Amino acid sequence: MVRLVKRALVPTRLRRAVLGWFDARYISRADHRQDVKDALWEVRTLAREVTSLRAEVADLRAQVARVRPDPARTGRWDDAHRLAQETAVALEEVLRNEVLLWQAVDRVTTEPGRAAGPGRIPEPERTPETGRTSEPERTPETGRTSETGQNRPATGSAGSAG
Amino acid sequence: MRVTWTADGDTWRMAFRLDAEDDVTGRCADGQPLRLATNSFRIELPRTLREIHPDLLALAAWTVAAPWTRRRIVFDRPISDGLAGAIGDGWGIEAGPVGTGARSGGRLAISYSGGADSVAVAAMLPDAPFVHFQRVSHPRVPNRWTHYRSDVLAELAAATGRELTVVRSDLEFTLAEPRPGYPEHHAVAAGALLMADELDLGGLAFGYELGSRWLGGDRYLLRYTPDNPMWAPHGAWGRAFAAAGVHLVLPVGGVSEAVTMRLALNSELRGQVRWCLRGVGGPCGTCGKCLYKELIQAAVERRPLRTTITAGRPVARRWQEPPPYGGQEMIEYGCARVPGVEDTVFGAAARYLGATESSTAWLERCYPPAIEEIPEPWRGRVRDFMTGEIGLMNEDEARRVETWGVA
Repeated sequence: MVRLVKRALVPTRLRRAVLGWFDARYISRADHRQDVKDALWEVRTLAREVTSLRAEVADLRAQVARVRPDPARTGRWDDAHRLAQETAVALEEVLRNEVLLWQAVDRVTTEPGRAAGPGRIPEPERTPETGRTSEPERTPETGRTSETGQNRPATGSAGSAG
Repeated sequence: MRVTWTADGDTWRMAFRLDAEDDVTGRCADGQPLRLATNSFRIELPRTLREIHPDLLALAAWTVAAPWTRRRIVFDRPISDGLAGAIGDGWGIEAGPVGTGARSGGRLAISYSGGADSVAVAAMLPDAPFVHFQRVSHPRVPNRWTHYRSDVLAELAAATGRELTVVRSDLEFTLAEPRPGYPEHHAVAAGALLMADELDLGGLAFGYELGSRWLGGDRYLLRYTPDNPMWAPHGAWGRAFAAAGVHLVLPVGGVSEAVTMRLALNSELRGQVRWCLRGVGGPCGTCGKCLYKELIQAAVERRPLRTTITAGRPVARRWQEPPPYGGQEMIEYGCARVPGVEDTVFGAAARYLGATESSTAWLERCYPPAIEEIPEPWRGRVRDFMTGEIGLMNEDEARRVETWGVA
């Protein structure tokens, strides 16, 4: 009733103008239909693309699975790694021996009298089995003077750790 | 042992030669056996210095050479009577030649690592300059420890905005076994010692806390150590540093790592705190140190443990075994406070220790004798901070310190 009254009260021209304005602001049915069609087409295209990409992924996965690192090459890598580790350890030994070598050199040059003392330092000719100077490769078993460590209580057992 | 320093611009190189009685194996002040790697290292200073007091050069050299010296040490320039006496009394090592005056200085710098403990010191002493030690590779020793991201730590130190001196050194590579590191704990100060005249240093503050100073923590005795040879002012190292005019100062020596953690997390440097040596964008979260500090942080923040480390991992193995542990007081503290700790990697340790909040409450306060042993120029500040911000232990609590590992 109220609607009818209201409707009757609004002049036709004004009503048309207002409705026309509304229509201009909203998409028409025909346009909607076209949009839905377009969207559907897009979805189908994407679905096809996804299918082909899936196939590609499966294909690549299969390729990866087929590719195994060449055992010869991995062997070389492992070898290089092992060699690097061993070289580092060996170099440390060389460096330590260098320290001991200088220790021996200094002993000979600064304290020649002591070097000749009995039982203090093995002379080079006392190690015929190697034919070399024993000083640089001296090990704890050969020439370490452990008694000197007793000046420092804290170093007491150090001589055995060498 | 004979020591030679040579300066090449801002780089100082030290080489040492073993005497007949010296050995490539020895022990540092905490008793750990050490094996020498090589006999030279360098310290790169931020600028070229014209003169460095011979005592500073000698003491810096001693922080590296001490473990392998058996009878005497000969420096390349005459040292003071005081330093020679300190080395003689402290180690039974004849040091010389003697023939220069003692040095002294006025300022206190912080040996800043960036960890929670040194950040706590920085929070206590907001205007003290930082000296940061940065490890660099040694040209002769293969560096198999590149996961140690000293560059990241140096960047974080710079990001604090504090007055900062970074010294770069490869001295840790003079040590082969157990692994590269400071031959003596004090070698971290070698660069600061060389800069001491330039910075007018009369003291150097370290982040060593209650556990390290008084409870014989880390790899040391694990019991009450009033005469700690590393950190007591009357110990061998304390006297040697004092003789060189750079007093050892432990501003957080009286408080536990719970307190230093809380101070660090509440400090304006919180964003730069980093106790992990491996992480780049943040702590790695997988190393043993991250696990230990996470327990403390979780306890301080009263929250469950946040870690991906499981009991089967090597870094968690020691917590599956019975005590004693290094830093055990903090394990007790954490186990008593972390909610749900029994279901974590610390569950076994928690059962062994059976600690409670009340049995670990003493770790929230400061052990008063630690304040008394701070050198006079800086004692007042530390005392004011400790009484004002932390609170002092009462007699019963102090007895917990003094019976640690003994009772």
